[in-house]
Order: sequence, then structure tokens, then C-alpha cells
Amino acid sequence: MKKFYYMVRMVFMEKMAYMKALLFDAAAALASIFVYYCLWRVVFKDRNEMQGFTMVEITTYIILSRTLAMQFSEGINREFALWIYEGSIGTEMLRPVRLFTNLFSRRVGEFLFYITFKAVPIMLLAFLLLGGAGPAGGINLLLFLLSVLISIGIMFYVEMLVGMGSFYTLTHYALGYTKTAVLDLLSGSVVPIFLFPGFIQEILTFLPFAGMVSVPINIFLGKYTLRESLMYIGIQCFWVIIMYFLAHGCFHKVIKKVVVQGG
Amino acid sequence: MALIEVENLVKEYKRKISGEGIKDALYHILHPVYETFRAVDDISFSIEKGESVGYIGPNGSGKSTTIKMLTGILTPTAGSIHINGRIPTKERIKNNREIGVVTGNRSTLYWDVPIIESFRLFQKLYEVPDNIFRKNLEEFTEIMGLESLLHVPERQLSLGQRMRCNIAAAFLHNPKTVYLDEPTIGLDSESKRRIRTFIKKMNDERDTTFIITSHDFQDIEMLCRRIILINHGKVVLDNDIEKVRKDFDQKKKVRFEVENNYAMKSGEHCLPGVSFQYIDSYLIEAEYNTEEVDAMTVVGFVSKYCPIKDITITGRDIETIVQDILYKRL
Ligand SMILES: Nc1ncnc2c1ncn2[C@@H]1O[C@H](COP(=O)(O)OP(=O)(O)O)[C@@H](O)[C@H]1O
Ligand SMILES: [Mg+2]
Repeated sequence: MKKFYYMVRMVFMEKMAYMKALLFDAAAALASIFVYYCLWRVVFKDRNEMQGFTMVEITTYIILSRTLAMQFSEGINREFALWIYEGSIGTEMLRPVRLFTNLFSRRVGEFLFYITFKAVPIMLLAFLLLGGAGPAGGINLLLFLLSVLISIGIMFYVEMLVGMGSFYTLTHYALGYTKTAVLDLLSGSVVPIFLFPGFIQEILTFLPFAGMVSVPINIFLGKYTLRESLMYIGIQCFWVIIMYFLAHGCFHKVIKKVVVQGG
Repeated sequence: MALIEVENLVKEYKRKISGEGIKDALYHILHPVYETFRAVDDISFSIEKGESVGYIGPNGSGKSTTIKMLTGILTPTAGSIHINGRIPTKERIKNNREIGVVTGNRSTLYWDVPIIESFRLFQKLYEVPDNIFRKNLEEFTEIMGLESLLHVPERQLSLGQRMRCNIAAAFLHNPKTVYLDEPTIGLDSESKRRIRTFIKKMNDERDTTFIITSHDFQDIEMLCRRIILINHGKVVLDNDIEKVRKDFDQKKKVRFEVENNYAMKSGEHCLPGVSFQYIDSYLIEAEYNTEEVDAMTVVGFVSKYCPIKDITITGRDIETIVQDILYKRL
């Protein structure tokens, strides 16, 4: 545990070296929030609600979904793929901790950095500028945070699988773009899931991706009853477990075949 | 059981044949063809604690591949490896705690943070007690001249400085064995000198076993008591470096600086097993076979004819010997 803390700390320090890039990231995120906001304004021009959502709620949806989705273009799949591609996986395999732990600590470090320097400031700024509904209640806020935390687990394993895929393609970026696009679409970050046709909605809410954006936001806004909220969080946990086994299974196969390039 | 036991080690790489031209390339996407390439071909050796081994051979002979298997990051195609009784690929993490690895073209440190932060992280990961860590850090800093580097991020260091830090890092947790794969490649002579001094000291004082690959024979001559020479993935020679010198270096050269070599040159004197060369009127070079005559005889012989002012005796260096073994000039 102590080791884990020091590894997370290291990732944090590494990220701190690139604080300037942060400003651009934040500006881009704010711009995209604003664009979505304008689009939705047009939609709400001659109506007060849509599928039970008011403009104020949609504003919250936009801010939260854009901020949460910022993580999709990052994640450890890029780094992991690069390790395989460049052969630095050899170096990482020589550390006295398991590769999975090593990668998970990187993911956690990245997440903490994201929360402190991206998510919180961007959300606060966007809420100040555009308004938007606050959490429906204290319990909603807590469950929202819980749901976001669990979604990190799912994201981590998705990223692991995507990263391992690069072992077969031997490119380090192609699958990354695909991941970003797929997650954006299926998590409800581009188009809210309630706008999809009925049966697709059903499917999407039970897939692991809804838990990354749609579920936490709906909990936040009080669109789910407590029972529903807990059920969706249960589904998220279920997926974490499934993905855990899937990722570990693949990992052991891949690592045996790993050819450490170069040297 | 020795510290490192390698038996009949084989590594085959599968290489995709991509063919020539776009048409071929497209064809091969649908019908991939592989060829296998034996990079390591039936290698066996064992290394005891405290040994200093130079693992040498031409480019592409399979040195790095062997090291990668020894450290457990590549799985052998066949054969067995036991490091301190463990199979490194099976118990990699346990093995990792007891080894250090340095690769010339790759860093284990964290690029964007000051060196000392990487060291501190390693201290935690390897569970090095504070007092040992402090003592090591102090000693290593002194020998390798790291004071001014510790608080600088790795990305701002020169190659030589970076490598010194990497080598220090590999020894921080008092490893039993350290593997060094071309640690001095492309370095300035100051860095090379410090690195050699450091490795030698670790081996002498702490009995740290090490295996080093290098194309710089000065590294090998200064550091290693034993060499394993490989070529095309096979062991060509595995012996004590002094023994190799004796066995293969039967020809030696003596260079005499004399007052005047006229007396000897004009007399056409000869000694069996020795060939004399007269460079100019003050210099004589004698090449002799150590099995037939010894140096004293040669010196005595020359001194009969001309007063000697200075003598230098040179053997062939390990580099030349190795070249000769590889290219069968012996
Ligand atoms: N990942 C790889 N795939 C295919 N062939 C490889 C790979 N790595 C090394 N080789 C081949 O194996 C041989 C030995 O390589 P290596 O162990 O790196 O040699 P050395 O370190 O002695 O220069 C070389 O001929 C090289 O081309
Ligand atoms: Mg090599």
C-alpha cells in the first residue's frame, strides 16, 4: 500500500512537469462544453423539456459529460501500447512490482491529476458561466461520486485490453482513437442515452460504458430512484469483475508472447 | 548450485516475411509467412557468486537476447535458467528484487522528475532501509560524481550523466547480481572511467556478481575475470581472461630502444623462435613465441650486441585475440 502511494505520487510529479499543456486542455474542454450548450439551446428554443429533462438539467448533463469524457482520450492504453511498441515494457517488467499494479498506480495517479487540475476547475468554471442544476440531494452527490470512482475500474480494464490489442497490431495509436470514439458514443457523452431508440437504450444501459458518463449523471440529477441507482451501481461492479477476469486472462497470454523489442 | 545456471538455452524469434513491393505486402497480410530465427542456440554456462563475466560477441550474436532471458523478460524457446534456484520468468518479481539491470540505450529512471525522486521511489519499491539507502547514495554519489545531477530531471542530463545515474540506481538495493547490457555505449571517457571504477568497486567490496556486454574491450579487460564469447548464438569460448591470454597469446613483442643497433643489424644474428626487425638505427623490435623462448633470453641476447636504453614488452590485447578466434586466424 505504501509502495502504491509512492508510485501514484511519482505519476503525479511526472504530470506536474507539463502544467502548461493543461491550460490548452482546459480551454478545449470549455470550448466543447460551450458548443454543446449552444446546440442544446437551439433544441430547447420552443420547448421547456425533453424526455423529462429541462434546459438547466441538460446544462448539467453537458458540463458533467464533457468533463467526464475528457478521460476517454487519455488513459493508460496509450502508455501501455507505447511500452510494447518501443520495447520499454522490458524495463517495466524489471521493476519489483507486478506490471498490473504498476499500470494501475499510473491510472490512479492520472485520475487524481485529472480530478484536481482538470475536472474540478473546469466544472466549477462552467457551472459559474452557464448555470445548470446542482445535485438532486446529498445522497445523489455521494452515489454520483461512488459511481465515477467505480467507472475508473472499468476504464482501466478497457484501457488494458485496448493496450494489449496493440501487441497484435504493433501500432500504438490506431486502437486508441477507436477506443475514444467508441466510448464517446456508447457512454452517452456525445448523445445522451435517452435519445437513442428504446431497445438500444436498454442495451446501452446494461453495457459497461453507460457507467462512465450516463449513469453517474442521471444519479446526480435524481433521474433514478434510489433503488435504480443502486442497481446501476451494482451493474457497474459486475462489469468491473467481468473485465478484471477478462483483462487478467488476456494479460497472461500476451505477456508470455511479449517480444521485448530492441536492445 | 551456482548462482546462475543456464542449460541448453535456445531462443527462436518468429519473423514475418513481408516480401517486396506493395503487391507482395498485400498478399502477405492475408497469407502471413513466418520464418524462425535462432538468436540463441543451445547455450550453457554457470556463474558463481562474486564472478565478473564479460559476455562478448559480434553484433547480433545473441547477447541482449540472452540477458533478456536471464532477467526473465523473454521466455526461452527451450532450455532452462535458474537464478539463485528460481526460474526468472516464473518468479519474476522475486527475482527482480535481487537483481539490477542496466541497458545502454534505455533508462529505468523517470524522465520528467529529478533523479533523486526516482531513487527515492526505488528505495520504497525495493524496501531498502533508510540507513542503507543513505549510505549507498552517499558512496555512489561520491564515486560517480552525481552531486550536481541529483536534483535535475533526467531529461536535462547528457547521455553519460544519465547512464551514471542509471548504474547507481541499479546498485541501490544491494542486488546479488547486476546485468549490464552495453552500459558504456556512446559515452565520454570521463563517464566510462567513473562507471568502470564503480562497478569494479562493487564487485571487489560487495561481491556483487555481474555480467557485462560491451564492445569496448577496455571495459572487459578492466572489469572481468572471465569471458564468455558467443557467435551466431553459440558459445565459442568460456574461460578465465588470463587463461585466454596465455593460451592464445603466444606471440609477444619486445621493443628495444638502444644506443645504436648497427652491431646487431650488420651481424645478422639470429635466435630460434625470435624474429628481429630494425625500425631505425635506435630501435629494434623482436617478436617471439612464448613457448620457445622467454623474455629474459631475448633481452640477454640483444644486450650482448648493443647497450639497451629502454624496453617495452607488449602482448596482443584481448580484442585482437577475440577477433582472431572469431575469424579463425589462429
Ligand atoms: N524482436 C526480434 N524479432 C526478431 N529478431 C530479433 C529480435 N530481436 C533480436 N533479433 C535478432 O536476433 C539476433 C540477436 O540479437 P541480439 O540478442 O540483440 O544481439 P546482440 O545483443 O548480441 O547484438 C539478431 O540477429 C537480431 O536480428
Ligand atoms: Mg545487444
